[in-house]
Amino acid sequence: MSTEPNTDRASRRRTLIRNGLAAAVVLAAALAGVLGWQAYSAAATEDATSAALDAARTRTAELLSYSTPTLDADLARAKQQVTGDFTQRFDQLASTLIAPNTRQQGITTKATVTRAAVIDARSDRVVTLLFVNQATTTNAAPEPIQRTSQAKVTMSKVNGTWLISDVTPI
Amino acid sequence: MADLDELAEAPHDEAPHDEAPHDEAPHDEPAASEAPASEPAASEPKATAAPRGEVVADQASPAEPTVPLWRRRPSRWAAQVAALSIALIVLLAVSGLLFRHNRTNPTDAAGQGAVNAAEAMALELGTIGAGNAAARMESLAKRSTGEFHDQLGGYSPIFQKILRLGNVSSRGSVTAAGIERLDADSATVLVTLSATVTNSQLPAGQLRGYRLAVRLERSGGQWLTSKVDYIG
Repeated sequence: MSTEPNTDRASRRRTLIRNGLAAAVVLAAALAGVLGWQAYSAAATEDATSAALDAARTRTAELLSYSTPTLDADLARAKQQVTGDFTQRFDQLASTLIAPNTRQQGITTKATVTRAAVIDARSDRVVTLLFVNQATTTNAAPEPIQRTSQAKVTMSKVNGTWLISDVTPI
Repeated sequence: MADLDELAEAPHDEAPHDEAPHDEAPHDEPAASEAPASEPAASEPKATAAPRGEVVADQASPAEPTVPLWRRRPSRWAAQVAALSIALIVLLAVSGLLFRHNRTNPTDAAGQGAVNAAEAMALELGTIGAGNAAARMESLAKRSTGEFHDQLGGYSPIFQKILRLGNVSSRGSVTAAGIERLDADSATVLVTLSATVTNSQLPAGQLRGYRLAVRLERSGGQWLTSKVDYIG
């Protein structure tokens, strides 16, 4: 007689425990999902940033290194490091300033990026800060002259490749 | 006799799960009521079989009408609860690991904090003069730690004297800053600083650019400068 409500109550308690656990599992799954997504997107941005920074180092050094005997090939190679609107600007700079000056003075210049930092990072656009050292010789000064410069270099991801889309000297 | 008790309990749980013994026993032997006590005892070679048989017999007949809710439902319920508990534990463990991972890996906010601290440090270093040197040194010391903190303390008196003698002053502004390296509690920030320096020889002032690598350490949620390198 008294066992009937007892077992009833017990079974209701069991149902309650089970449903409570099920609800807790759902909440825990949601929590794990959110944390997992955060970790994933952070890792993705980090990967993109370090790839962009590596590309900025090598491509900026390529862009700023050229020599009179190989100038045409050097400028053609430099052009492959850039993308977007910057391509036209670089083309113009190359034909109006770099090429005539280099040929006239017999310039050979080699740039090295000594330090590189990230100013702003998104998945397809990373703004970098580069410290550049440049060793330059000319016909008049055959001993290399060391110069330092620094620039904000913007990298954009085009078809999976990080290319220079802007250079702003500081 | 703990061993016997334990052994005796084993068939308890099995009996309700698969009710084969109850179903089959009557088919095989019509005299099921007395048989269970002796029948399993005969099939089992060990001495423990006898008490076990008794227990099964006790449990089976009088308990059956009232106990089913307790005896049958737990198996499904217990399996569900066990599965849910395991799922909960696994999910919480995963969440815990992810949380720790997310916290020890630098976030955008942490990076911004380091950049802000480095910019403020560079600005203070670049904006200094005989008039405010003492106060500035104190403020710099508060924002710094380790090697850089010690350097400031050591050079401070000499530095102030030079500033006074040369009537040197400098007004600086940060032109760019970015993160070179960042982890949970240390960072290196590159800063470019442009400063107008005036002294006895250059009363009109001269614009100079500086490249700095500022190393910072996080202590108590605050980024403190531990080293400043001038990059030539």
